[in-house]
Amino acid sequence: MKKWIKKVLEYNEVKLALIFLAIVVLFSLINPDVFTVANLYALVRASATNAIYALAIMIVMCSGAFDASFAVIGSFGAYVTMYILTQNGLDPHPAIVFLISILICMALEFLNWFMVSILHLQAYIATTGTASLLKGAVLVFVSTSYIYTLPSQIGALGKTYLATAVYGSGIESQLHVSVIFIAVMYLVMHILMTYTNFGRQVYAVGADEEAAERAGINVKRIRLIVFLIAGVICGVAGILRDAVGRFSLPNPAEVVGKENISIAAVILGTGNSSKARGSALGTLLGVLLMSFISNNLILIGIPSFYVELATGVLMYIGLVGQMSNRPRRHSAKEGK
Amino acid sequence: MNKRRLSNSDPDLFRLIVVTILIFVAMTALKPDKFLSKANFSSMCYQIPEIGLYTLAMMLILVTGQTDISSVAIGNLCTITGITIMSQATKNNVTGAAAWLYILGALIVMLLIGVVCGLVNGFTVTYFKVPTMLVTMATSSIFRGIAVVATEGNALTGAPEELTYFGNHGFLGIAYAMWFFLIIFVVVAYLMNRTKFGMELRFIGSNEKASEYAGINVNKTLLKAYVYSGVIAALTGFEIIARTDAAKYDYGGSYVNQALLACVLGATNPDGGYVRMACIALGLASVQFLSSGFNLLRLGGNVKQFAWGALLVFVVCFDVLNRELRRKKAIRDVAKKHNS
Amino acid sequence: MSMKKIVNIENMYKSFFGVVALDGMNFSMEEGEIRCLVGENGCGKSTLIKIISGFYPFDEGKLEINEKEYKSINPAESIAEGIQVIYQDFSLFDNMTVAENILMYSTVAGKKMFINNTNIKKKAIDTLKRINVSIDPDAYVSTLSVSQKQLIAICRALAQDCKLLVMDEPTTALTTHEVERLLEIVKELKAQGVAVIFVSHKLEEVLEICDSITIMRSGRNVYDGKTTERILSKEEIIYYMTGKQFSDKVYEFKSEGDIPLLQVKNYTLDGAFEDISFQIEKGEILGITGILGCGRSELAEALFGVVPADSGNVLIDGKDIGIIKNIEQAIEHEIAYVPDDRLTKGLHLEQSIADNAVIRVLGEFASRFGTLDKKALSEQKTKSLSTLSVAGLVPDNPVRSLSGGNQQKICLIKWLSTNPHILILNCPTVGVDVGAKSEIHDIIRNLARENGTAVVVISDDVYEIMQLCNRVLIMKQGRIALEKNIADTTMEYLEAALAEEKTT
Repeated sequence: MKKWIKKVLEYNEVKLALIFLAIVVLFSLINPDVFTVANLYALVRASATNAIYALAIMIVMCSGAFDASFAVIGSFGAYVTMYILTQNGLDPHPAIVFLISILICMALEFLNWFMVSILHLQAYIATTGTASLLKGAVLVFVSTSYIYTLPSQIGALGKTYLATAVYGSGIESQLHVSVIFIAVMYLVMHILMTYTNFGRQVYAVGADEEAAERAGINVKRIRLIVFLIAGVICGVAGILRDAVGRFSLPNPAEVVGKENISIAAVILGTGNSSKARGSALGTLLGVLLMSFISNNLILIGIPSFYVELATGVLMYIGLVGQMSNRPRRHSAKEGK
Repeated sequence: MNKRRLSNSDPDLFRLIVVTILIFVAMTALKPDKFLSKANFSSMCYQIPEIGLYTLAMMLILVTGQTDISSVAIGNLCTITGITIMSQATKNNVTGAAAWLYILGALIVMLLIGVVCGLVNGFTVTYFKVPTMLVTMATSSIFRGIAVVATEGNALTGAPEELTYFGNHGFLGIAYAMWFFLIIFVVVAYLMNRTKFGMELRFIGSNEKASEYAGINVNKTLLKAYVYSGVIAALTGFEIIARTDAAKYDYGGSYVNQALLACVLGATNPDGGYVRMACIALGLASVQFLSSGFNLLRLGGNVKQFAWGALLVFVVCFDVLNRELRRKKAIRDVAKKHNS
Repeated sequence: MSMKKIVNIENMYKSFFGVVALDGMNFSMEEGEIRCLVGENGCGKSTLIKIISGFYPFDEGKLEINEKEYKSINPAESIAEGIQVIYQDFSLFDNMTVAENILMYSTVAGKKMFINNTNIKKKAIDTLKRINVSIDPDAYVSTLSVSQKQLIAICRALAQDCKLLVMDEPTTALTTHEVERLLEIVKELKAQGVAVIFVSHKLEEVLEICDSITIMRSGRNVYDGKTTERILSKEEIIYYMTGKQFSDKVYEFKSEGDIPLLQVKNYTLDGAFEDISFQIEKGEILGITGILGCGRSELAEALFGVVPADSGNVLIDGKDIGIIKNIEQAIEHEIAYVPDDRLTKGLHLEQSIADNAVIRVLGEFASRFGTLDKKALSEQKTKSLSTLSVAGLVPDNPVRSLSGGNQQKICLIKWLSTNPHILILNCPTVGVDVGAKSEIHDIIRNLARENGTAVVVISDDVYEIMQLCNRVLIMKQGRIALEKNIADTTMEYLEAALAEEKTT
């Protein structure tokens, strides 16, 4: 029995879940309002965008690359889509809206792939370039104005709720439809990474490119698919942000420049270490942890400007904690 | 003939000279009356130091093959602390030598913060072996977080006039800020080219493990580099206080990208191990010419943002292709020799 | 009845960065044949294998696999043709479990959308059973030892049905018992019609099971023959490999009865080596050999302070200094170390040849404030490089532009400029051509003879040790199993001693 517990505790996801639970309990003790259904709904709403963006950067990091531009790409895709639709007075089915945005984001991630995988540029520097380029391009070549009236069908999606709950104070909180998006995308990603041939090959490429090539894996193709999937995810996340926020703007401040929240979530879910594999479940727990803390600090009486500090500290702990798992004499014993 | 020799023996420098001249000529042609005006040049003298100092801070780490994005966060943390101390002088109506005492005290505290921040980065990188980019992403959140918490997000002001005078005046027609920058640039150039530290840093950048086996104390040298980088960020903070008399947690966020651009444009190899100070200077000049030119053409921050990104992408792609071509040529030469 | 040809290579050429690796190679294999591929390090064996496995494209020549001509082939196609390779560096994935690693190639080649994790585990257990090893299939590979990793690499090749199995030094980390089991499996495979290429320099274990032998030198085959027709003697094989007659001239050393320069007592590093004691005098060249994972590399790195030992003593000139704790301390006591892998541990490939040559002595040209005396430094560069006999050497070119042999010489020069008292060399001639090899040997011998440097040579090449050293230690499972003077022993005796499980 003891052995069983020990084995379960070795999983990073279990550790993370325990930390999450501990924080939830701690917060709830300070303010009982934290532990309510209403607050859970608010959490879903607040974390929807970051949760989905985190998946994009997770799969890229699992393949051993990096993308600093995912949030800009998502925002770019969504804003351009909304701009085209509103300028032309179109109001297509939401599926079409998502599709347009996804196609734009895929094209942009293709550019990243080309630089990272074909030209072998340092991923961080190349994608920082893409991010800066797009941030400026949308304002210079598209538009700088906010779009307050979204096409009505996609606007309706933003006002679709599944359930309503009430805080102790009587304020209502609603469960936004985006929870379905999160659930479906995490489930699909989990299956993709754990049970498919492709997922296994992504981990192989992330561990050792040369060994992966010898195993008959087409490394460039795997990376291409990885970046395209990241494009799909960004496309969805961008539109979802607009739907939840009910307006579209070129570089939304809670997304662009706040990439570190998603990256921190992935790192907490061990997407970074070469010895451990990033998983959808770990990432989800990471996102929940980050969102829960930033969302509820104010409820336990800590001013909201502590959020940035909390994000940094969590990310730091995630990075350092992971590395201390490494065996000490690793370099000497693995010599050829 | 002479030109050809230069282009062959030092292709990076030659290319940058051409690029800088091209940008200069283009901007002159577009706005001849304004670009060549004295006012433009003196305003450039006030702008170069900030971006230039951050570039130096980033370059020191880029040489080791890593990207440090925390300099601006360190700089802002320093300006906030510095201005808090200095504003005591203004509040208490202290002037003259006594005010300088406050300024000096503030500078020392700022430098200490720079050292501590550098140590935090360096320690995490060397001890836990985490990529610098991720470490500094986390630590810059922490530094910025501390700055936000300390100021509640507000801008601070109130530096003594004794200091701000130097931030807004010049000596021999060149801004004091520029002199300040030039001195630090020369010191850093000396450090990189003429000292054991600079050479060892380059060795570490091209192969960390081999450096260790050659008896270089890798962790100590890297730690030094991070501390120096932190100190330069702190000095940047000092210069910013002098010039703007303001401190805010999110000041100059775009400097990270500009500094990165100036570094790679200045032929610093992002994979580590190669840096040319002359190229850095030219890279900086090009970025500044462009920036001033855009201002004169009344193109706003958006265009600049776009241009910086596009240039960064273009320069790194070009560098890779160029290096590949050079390598292929070298291989062909060797093969030719082998066959003959 | 003529047998089907699995591989046929004619007139193959391949070069890297201007260095020719294959120079008109001819090679062919039939079904059910066991071929031994022999050659010195750097003769092109690994390149040939990587071309067959589709990892490297070839420059010129004809490549036929299963009687089908390929202009170019990629790893996936090669695996699909039934070619499996056990690589020298194992090529395993650290972030996956043993079972996932064993079935990785079949998973990729299967091209199925979904993977069946239970099935993978079951097959992995079957394969592990086949070679009689017990390793937890759920363990992560990053937690395994070197010999376990080698076994996993073998299992991975066996897990899939193949027509040609290539084993590149498959037994470097294995014990005699494990090797015997492996050879049995090879015989079983032969009976099923599988062809096997065996790359090994432990000739005894191979010659007894192989049908034919190909000897390579400088990128081409210099001998092909069936072992049934004629069995080559050791001397003949060495002649074909090196192009030189086997010489039994031994490095002569006369003890002057001084205090030994270096004495090591009861040196122990948990999990790597234990209770190592030996001594070496001025001007001596001591060889240390043993199979991979026996602790020889770890011992070298411990003596240089890279990974310090747990307990024991080191005496230098008779003075006890305890354990060498770090590299600085080793350097302080005039110990120099040329590591085994020059590309990752020895050289700064992108830096100039001249800078690489003086990296060790930078400190001597720095003032108290770290300022370098540029003029004196450039004189030192010229001085250091003058000992290197390379035609058309450009000191400002990156080290990358040099050939393997010259790169290794730079590694040596780098340390020689400090005039070390003790020089430790770990596999000093891996990937070095024959000419450069004998030059490097000359440099080492002169150093010992004229400067009185005490040299420790760690090598897996018994022939090299015979040529270079005056005394040899054989290590087994972290302990010294045997000590011999070279003059009192033979190559056959040493090789037999190496292959034995335990020496009593």
